[in-house]
Parts: sequence; structure tokens; C-alpha cells
Amino acid sequence: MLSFISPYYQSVAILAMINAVSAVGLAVFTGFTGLMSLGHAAFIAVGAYSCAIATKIYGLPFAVGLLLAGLIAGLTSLVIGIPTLRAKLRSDYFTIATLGFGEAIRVLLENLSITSGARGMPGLAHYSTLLPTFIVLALVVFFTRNFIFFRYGRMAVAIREDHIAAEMAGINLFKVRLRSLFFSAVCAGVGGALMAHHVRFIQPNMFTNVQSTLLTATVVAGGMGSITGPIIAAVIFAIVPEVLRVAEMWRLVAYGAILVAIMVLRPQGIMGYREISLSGMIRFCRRLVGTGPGSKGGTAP
Amino acid sequence: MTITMTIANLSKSFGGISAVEDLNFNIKTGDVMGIIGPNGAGKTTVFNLITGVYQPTRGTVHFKGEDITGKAPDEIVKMGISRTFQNIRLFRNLTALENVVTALDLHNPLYNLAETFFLNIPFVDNKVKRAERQLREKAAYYLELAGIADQADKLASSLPYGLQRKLEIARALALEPELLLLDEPAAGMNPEESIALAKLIKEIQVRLKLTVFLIEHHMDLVMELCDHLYVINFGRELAEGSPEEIQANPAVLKAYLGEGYKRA
Repeated sequence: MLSFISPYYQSVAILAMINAVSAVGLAVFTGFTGLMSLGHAAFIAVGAYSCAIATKIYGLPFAVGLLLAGLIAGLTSLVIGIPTLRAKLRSDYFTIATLGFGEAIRVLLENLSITSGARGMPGLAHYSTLLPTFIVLALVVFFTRNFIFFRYGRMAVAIREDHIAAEMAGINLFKVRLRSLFFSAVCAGVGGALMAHHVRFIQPNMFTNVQSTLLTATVVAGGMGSITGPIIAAVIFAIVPEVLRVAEMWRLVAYGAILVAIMVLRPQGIMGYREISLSGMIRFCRRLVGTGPGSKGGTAP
Repeated sequence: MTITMTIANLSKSFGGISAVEDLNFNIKTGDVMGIIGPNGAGKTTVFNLITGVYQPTRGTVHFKGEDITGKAPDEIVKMGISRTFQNIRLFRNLTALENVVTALDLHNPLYNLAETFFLNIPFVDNKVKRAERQLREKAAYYLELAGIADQADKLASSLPYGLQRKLEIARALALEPELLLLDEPAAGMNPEESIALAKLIKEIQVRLKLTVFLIEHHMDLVMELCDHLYVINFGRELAEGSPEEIQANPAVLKAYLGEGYKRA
């Protein structure tokens, strides 16, 4: 199926979608709950290894591996989340804690026997093809939308906006922040599982702080308080290095330059506090042909 | 006559500095009680102690007979105390209506986490969407109560100062309190505006059968609105009584109103 698309383009598309899964997860935590993490590569790593071990060593189906990856990554997030968020660590303090946690997980993976240490796990099955990856992304977006634009997400957004006022509106800061962290870690874990079965080889040094930083950059460039923004950014950041392959070393420079340009020209990110929604697009199209009511297209759901 | 709140020996010090010391007063149910005092007298500290932002060094706060000293802010709100802030704290990137809806969630848990994850399918009417519509209608009612119904879809940060204060009141009302704490609701308003606000607060108080406890510097508003006043100076009790008594109290006149204050 879909074999009319060349394997190379398929691979780029899959990579973009995998990045989007993790970015959407982090968007819930950073863009909507207002906490910055520089350790999300740890959750991606835990997800990748959980799924790889489940499918390769225990011979479980990919779908089960994906669920386990999300669950184990989520549980891992509680290890860092409970002590730091209970202590109400915020902003830079919390971020430093996640930085340390990310490194600790990577070192752990390098030394465990079930993960084959630094040698990594080669020869994983090629499960993350175009269609399954797309289905997973669609599900992640669906659940994220249901989470963030309704009651539970509202509590998270209130905390981002003003944590003291949120607390005075009866919102338990610890519970809501931890819930967002858990959700984002589940997404990162699922993203990692997809990655493992796309690249088909995993190794601890694929999950360094550089990856955490890039993921955070994706969310910030995509726009705080947006789901579609980080998806667009994830796609851009997957495509640009490929398009610029002809420019050799300059492609990485271009990558950085795009990030700088977005932050200078649009500090709120590509879609800050806005969404592209289906109903918004329908309104926009109606307005273009001049039939529907003249509403502001392309904003919130 | 029932008592909504009893404050006993309430004290708070920061390091060696005593912000408030040995405050004792009752707030009667259905009253509008005012706390006044010069800048830095410790009025906002009293609010922060009642709402759990600070833990008192000594003393207790009882609400409807129950000891709430040391409880977390979100628990205290659930029991029926809500507040506004002196330095406005709105959810700035949300609309006025969304600000109020966020507060409504507390006492209106119309759906749970599993329902929002699995039932809430786009383009299909479902329990979550119906609940959301219900919440928005209810939020519109609170905006109307505060006299800002026409601002529903504007971003909180884009509202002028006076309307932001009213939005804070609407949000506090949506928490369905029995005791409403207002921290300088008329700050930055001219005398006519503050009198209009006093009328609005009175109207809301009667309609929702609230007990109100407020901090205010506008004496016009205080004298118009309050049934009872508590005066503090340098963190200590200075006087207590009806507005008429307070206006005639020489110690208060000296410390706060300035000598020769006459009612406008």
C-alpha cells in the first residue's frame, strides 16, 4: 500500500510524524501547562526501549509494544514529577531537574543488561510504516485535543497563566501539573516506540540532551498554547535538513538560522495560542467564496 | 445572628518583622465588612492568611465553625471562600468567558477524565459538548452579574483596567462562595466609578446572599457599602465598629483618615 510514494519520501514523512507525536506531547506540558522540560529525550528513550524489548525479546505485537511504551514512559515521568512538582519547583529550577533526570536515564540505559548497554539493540522489525504511524499520530492528536481544550486542560492553562490565581480557583497545582507531565511522557514514549521501529536500531546515545533541546525548540517555534503549531514545526524541522542535503554542512546552519528567524520574527511561535481546526478551515473557505458568515477563520476549536 | 468567620490572635511574621499581630474579629453572616488601614498596615496579609497563601505564625481562622488554619488554598476555596487580587491576576490569554468557565469547573464537575478522552468525538454531539455549552451559559450569567456581559469574547488582557477588576469579581463569584474577599476592588477608579462599583457589589451581595469582606482605600465606597469596619495600623488592631463610629474615632482619624476628614 502507498508504494507509489518512493521509500525516501515515505521515510521523511514518517520521521516528521514521529517528531510530531513527541512534540504534541511536550506541547501539552510546555505550551499549555507552562513548565519547560529539557529531559524529554529520557521518556522517548524509555518508550523506544520498552517497545523494542517487548517486540524483540518477548515477541509481543507492535500495538501492545506501543501501549507498554506509553505506559512505562508515563510511569517513569512520575519518578521525576512527584518529588519536583510536589516541592512546587517552577521555571528554571524545574528545568534543571529535568536536565539531570534525562542524563541519568541515558546513563542507566548504557549500563543495564536488558538494553545491551552502549551497544544498543539492532535488527528491530520495521513496523513504523506510513499508515500505522499516521494512525498513531491521529490518535495522539485526538486525545490531546480532548484533554487540552476541555475541563482538564483548562486547569493546566489556568496554571500557565497565573498559578496563584489558579490555586485560588480551587485548582490543585501538583495534581494538574503531574497529570500534564504524565500525558506528555506517554506521548514521548509512544514517539520513541515509533522511532525504534522506524530506524530499526536504538542506542542510548541517540537520546541525549540535544534531542530534548530540539524537541523543546520545536514546541516553542511552533507556538506556545497550540497543538497544530508544534505539528507544523515538527514537519518543517524534519523536511528542512532533507531539502538542504545538497548544501551539505550548511543544512545544520540553516536549521539553526530558521529557529533564530522564527523567534525574531514571530516570538509567539508559528501558531502562538492559535489552532488550525477543521471547522476553522470550513469557515475560512466559506468566507473566501463569500457565502458564510464573516468569522475569524483558523482560530480555536 | 450567625458568624461566618472568626479570626483569633492571628499573627504573621516574616523573619523578624511582624506583618500582623494578634488580630481578633468576627465577620457576621450577610454583612459587608471592611478592613481599612494605611498602606503597609497588613490588610492583604490578612487576606493571604485567610486564603492559605501564607501560614500564620500564630492564631486561628474559623470558617462556619470549622478550623481552616493551615489548609491549602484550593481546599479553602472548595469550602466556600473566594477572592480577588489587588494586583489583578486574570488568565490573560483567555477570553473573559473562559476565565469564568475555568472557575466554574470547581463546583460543576460535569464530566470526568475518561469521558473527555473517549466520548468527546469531533462533529458529534456528546456529553462533554453539552456540558461545555451549559458551562458557557452559566459563565455568561456571572459576566452579566458583574456588568460585563458584552465583553465575553474579549481577551482578558485586552480589557481596560476597571473591567478587568469586574472580571475578577465575576470569576470569584463563579467559584460559588459564601464569603467573598475583595482586595481593593475600586483601585484606580475615580469617585463616581467607585460609587457605581459599590452599588454593583451591594446588588450582587443581596442577590447571591453573600458575606463580603473587603479591603478598600476609597472612603466613599467604604462608607457607602460597609456594615462594619475593622481598622488596623502597623499590623495591629486600631479600632472596630460601624462606619459612623469609625469616622468619629479620634485614633482612626489621626492614623488614617487625616484630621478633618468629612464625609463627602
